[in-house]
Amino acid sequence: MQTTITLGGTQYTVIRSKLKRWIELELLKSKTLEFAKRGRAMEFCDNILSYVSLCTGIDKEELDKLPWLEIITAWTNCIEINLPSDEFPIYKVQSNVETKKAVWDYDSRTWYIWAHNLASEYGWSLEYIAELDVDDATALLEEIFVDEQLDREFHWMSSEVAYPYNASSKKHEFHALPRPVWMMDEIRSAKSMEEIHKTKILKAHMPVGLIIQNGKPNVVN
Amino acid sequence: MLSIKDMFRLWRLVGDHLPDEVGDDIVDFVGTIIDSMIKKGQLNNYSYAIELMHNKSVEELKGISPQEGIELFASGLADNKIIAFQSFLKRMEFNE
Repeated sequence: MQTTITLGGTQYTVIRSKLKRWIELELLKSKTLEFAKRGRAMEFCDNILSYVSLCTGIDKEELDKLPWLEIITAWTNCIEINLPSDEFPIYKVQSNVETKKAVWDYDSRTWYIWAHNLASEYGWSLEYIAELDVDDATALLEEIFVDEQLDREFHWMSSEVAYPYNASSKKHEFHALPRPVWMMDEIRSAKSMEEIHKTKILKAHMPVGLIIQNGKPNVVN
Repeated sequence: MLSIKDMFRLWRLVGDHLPDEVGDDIVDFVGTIIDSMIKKGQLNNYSYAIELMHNKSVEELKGISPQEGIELFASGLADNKIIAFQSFLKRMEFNE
């Protein structure tokens, strides 16, 4: 995949970035949006210029002199060419819950998370992983996550904690291990978390007795 | 046309004064901006914006007539596509 952009009267061919560069670009993109939200104009511009510079190979200082409309058009085209396929559930469904950054996190860690997972699973070198197509890498990473989740679910099912005691039914009942949002059937069919509206219902209006929830009976008093 | 960083500098000078609705009349458009600058006591922004858009020094601007000033201001805003820049900031949800 490639596109042609015009900057300062010269045409440049921009090709879709490989995995390592793509992760770098994604980080720049999310920082740009963050700077926009915080109204940090100069950092916002720097990130846009860096993005275009990485895609075209033109120095940031050179880009800084060009008309703003050319830069924004180039930036938009570069983002478009680097969009991953929209068929991956992992990109389609995003959780609304803001995840807290781990204390051991750092800016370029995302690349190492991808590399670590792919290298552990397939034994590839960092150089080889860096040059993977983004869609291929995404599909493989998704498979790794699915395998890990199913493995965890199996271990969960075999442990006592999966069967807590329900005082009302006086039985131990199975509670499934929660899945990541993108693996949940009900969420995936709703396409996005925003489409699921939560409605408050008075306790007095709540049903009582035997309720079938997710195909399993649950006694409510 | 200005670079992206200079465009933000221009935006800081005129962004607050742009009318909510933009018609076809450039005179009305510029008049609304200048009126707003006067009301908010920021008329200096007018000359700073001309300096920035036309790369002119304060000394050079002293020699021009008020009419020429308005023309430079209007042509500068049009050449730099200030309305397109405003739409871009809105699309980006840029917090001013």
